[in-house]
Amino acid sequence: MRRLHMVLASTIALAFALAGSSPSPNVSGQQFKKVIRFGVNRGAENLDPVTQDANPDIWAFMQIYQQLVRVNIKGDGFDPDLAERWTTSADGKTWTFFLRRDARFSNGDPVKAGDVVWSLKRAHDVKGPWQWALEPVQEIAARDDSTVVITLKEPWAPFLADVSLFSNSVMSEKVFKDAKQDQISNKPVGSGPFMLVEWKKGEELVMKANPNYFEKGLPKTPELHLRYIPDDNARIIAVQSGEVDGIDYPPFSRVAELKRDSRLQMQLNPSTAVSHLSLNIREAPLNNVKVRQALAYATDRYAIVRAVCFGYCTPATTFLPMTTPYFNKTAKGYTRDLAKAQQLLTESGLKTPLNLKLLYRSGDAVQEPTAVALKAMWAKIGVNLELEPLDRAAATQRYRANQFQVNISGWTNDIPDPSQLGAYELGYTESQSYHSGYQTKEMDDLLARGLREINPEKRREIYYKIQEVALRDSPLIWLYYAPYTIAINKKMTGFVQMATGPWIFKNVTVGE
Amino acid sequence: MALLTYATKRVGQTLPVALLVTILIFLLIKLLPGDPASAILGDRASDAAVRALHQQWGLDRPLWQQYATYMNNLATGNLGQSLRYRTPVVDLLPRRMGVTLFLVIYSMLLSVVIAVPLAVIAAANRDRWPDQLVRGLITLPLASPPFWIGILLLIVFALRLRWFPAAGYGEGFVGHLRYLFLPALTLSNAFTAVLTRNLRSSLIDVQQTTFVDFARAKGLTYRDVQVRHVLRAALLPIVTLIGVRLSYAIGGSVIIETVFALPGLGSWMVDSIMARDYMVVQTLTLTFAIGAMLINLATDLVYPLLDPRVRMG
Repeated sequence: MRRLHMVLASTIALAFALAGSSPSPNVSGQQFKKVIRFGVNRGAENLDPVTQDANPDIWAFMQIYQQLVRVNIKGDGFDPDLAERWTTSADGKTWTFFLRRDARFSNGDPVKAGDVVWSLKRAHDVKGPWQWALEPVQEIAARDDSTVVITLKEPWAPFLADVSLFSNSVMSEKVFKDAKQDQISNKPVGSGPFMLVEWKKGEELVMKANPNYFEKGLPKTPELHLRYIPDDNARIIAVQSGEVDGIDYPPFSRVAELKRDSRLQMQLNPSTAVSHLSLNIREAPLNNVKVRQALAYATDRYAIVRAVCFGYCTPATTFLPMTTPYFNKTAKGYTRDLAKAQQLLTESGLKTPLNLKLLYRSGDAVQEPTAVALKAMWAKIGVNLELEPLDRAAATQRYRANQFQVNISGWTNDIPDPSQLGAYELGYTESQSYHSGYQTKEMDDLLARGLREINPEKRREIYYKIQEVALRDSPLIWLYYAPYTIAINKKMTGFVQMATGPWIFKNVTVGE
Repeated sequence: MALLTYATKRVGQTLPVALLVTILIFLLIKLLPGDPASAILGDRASDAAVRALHQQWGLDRPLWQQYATYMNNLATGNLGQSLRYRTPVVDLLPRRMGVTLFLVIYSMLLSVVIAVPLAVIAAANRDRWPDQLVRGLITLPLASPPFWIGILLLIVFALRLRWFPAAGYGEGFVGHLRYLFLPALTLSNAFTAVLTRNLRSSLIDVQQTTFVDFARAKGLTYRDVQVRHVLRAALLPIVTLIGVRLSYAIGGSVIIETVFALPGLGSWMVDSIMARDYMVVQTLTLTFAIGAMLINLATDLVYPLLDPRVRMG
């Protein structure tokens, strides 16, 4: 039997040998890691700034590309980026951008006006979800190597916001002029703080500091690795064990626990996320506005915030996120009122129990509890809500084909201006008003005026009115505003997340 | 020579099965509601954009044509493009396959290393306390879901004790051994239990045969008999078991790779199904199917080599 003992002993020895030593203790003094490792819940798939709609793609290529102007950290104005200054003509139709001369692409080529013109024309012409951002543009031209002149068809209030949009990233004309789509998707070359060096698809994006980045001394850490860890629990364990320095989207159910973890900093960052229900108003019974209002009154947003967000969200009062300019702070939205809901339902002339179907993504940590809560809440006014959980791809197909009655969905702004969400959610052209089918002359007129009114005070009035009309017509039911959840190691400093979502890593250091 | 004929015959039998698998998986994924273009482009995509992608990928053509193209490509060694990543599947496959193969083989070895001593101890002490203890212990992993065991191991050994890393698979051979220890241990659990039980009863059976009595009667020591005759004879049925369980382990890797954030074939499969990345799903399913068939084949071929009593029919 001795030999067996030896086998056992060597197994245990092997296990210990593999276990290795515990991490070395803190070194005093300013020792920083060479790499920022960040765990993300969804991987990037395609880094073409013009065609992509998913946040993981956008937030990744935002490390690589720059735009003419960028949204400031507070989210209420614009900072110079590739353009060091800009002017508007008196009629508001001609915008002149003066480029900084020290900006270079990661391959060393200087960023010239020609690159800007080529990139913006591509963003304007290539079919994609962001063409609206250059819709009022008549002409884009280079006056010289460092001046870009954009002429508009008419004055356009959110134009600077539109220019700051990621789809208007400046790409190298020389590199991409004759490139195939695969190259644009897979091998971005920009002038931003980082450059892509290796992309293990579905696994990790490896970026290095762009040595030619115009802000001297930035980024502070030489490498940035975005590692795809889809499972929530695995991602949390990775940050707790120090395998990564930070993670995005820990679910709300784990926030309290992460706040207690002394090694971590749990961030709840202001966002522009709005959770809502799309109501298909093409057909009975949801074509009846009283039914929609009844449902809105029957919905207890505070209870949903408690059940779904564990209290970390804010009940929605209008269609606009709280952080968006012209958000009406005094709007009350719908507060739960069963008597009123009941009364509206009676007035609608429809018989109860009223059968409705709710489409949502199965297994989704946010949508599933929302669906269950809604079923219970709406049952109180005689609505029998049938739950239809489908996997994401199948649900997307149903939603796009308008084969749903009620669909759980959500929004985040991409520019710090209400016009984008207004057009998308309440104007028919872009998305059939979130596929609700909502379209009225009154709303269309208001939205058109909102885009063209330059005077901020008059513009505010328009958007207040839009918020009011949207609540009255209720093609959607707005549920809550959610913060972005981020958990980072306390040794990581300088991390910033914009309200529109993208992370800024250029100032980040991670202590050893 | 007989072995060669036998092998040829067996390979010949597996080919139609592989073909059937390709048809089955091709149809199954098309039956699923949802399509890759809208899954990839997202809720905000325009209908025109979705149609354009369908056309580009040939998804607007009749099913039989799509299948013919797929088979034609396959025959010429072209595994197609990952729709989602715009990258040839063949470029992504080796790296991921390496992770899963390492994990599965590692877990098998761990199982054997743990199970053999346990089984020998149990069999040698039949119905006495060491036997009872071993039999009791192994019901635990059998009765617990692997994702739960995985999370527990992570909490104890990666978070509290910090002996092992929590995610990823490390650099180099030693790095892999270290990073994949917890996942492999988790994956090995169920097999360790099954193996211990089977080996134990197999050992007990062999101990009762006449050739063992004869060996003892010849004057061989207890240890020599155990190691040279009993263990060797008892290990034979285990070879089949390893073959069967290898296929299970590949299936189990789907869960383990998710829990431990490993970029292997299993987690890729789940991801690709969710994104309706047709080409990847087809290739992976085919890879898994061929893998299972090869394992079965190998098991059948190895068996007669180990046991001269078995002859090929």
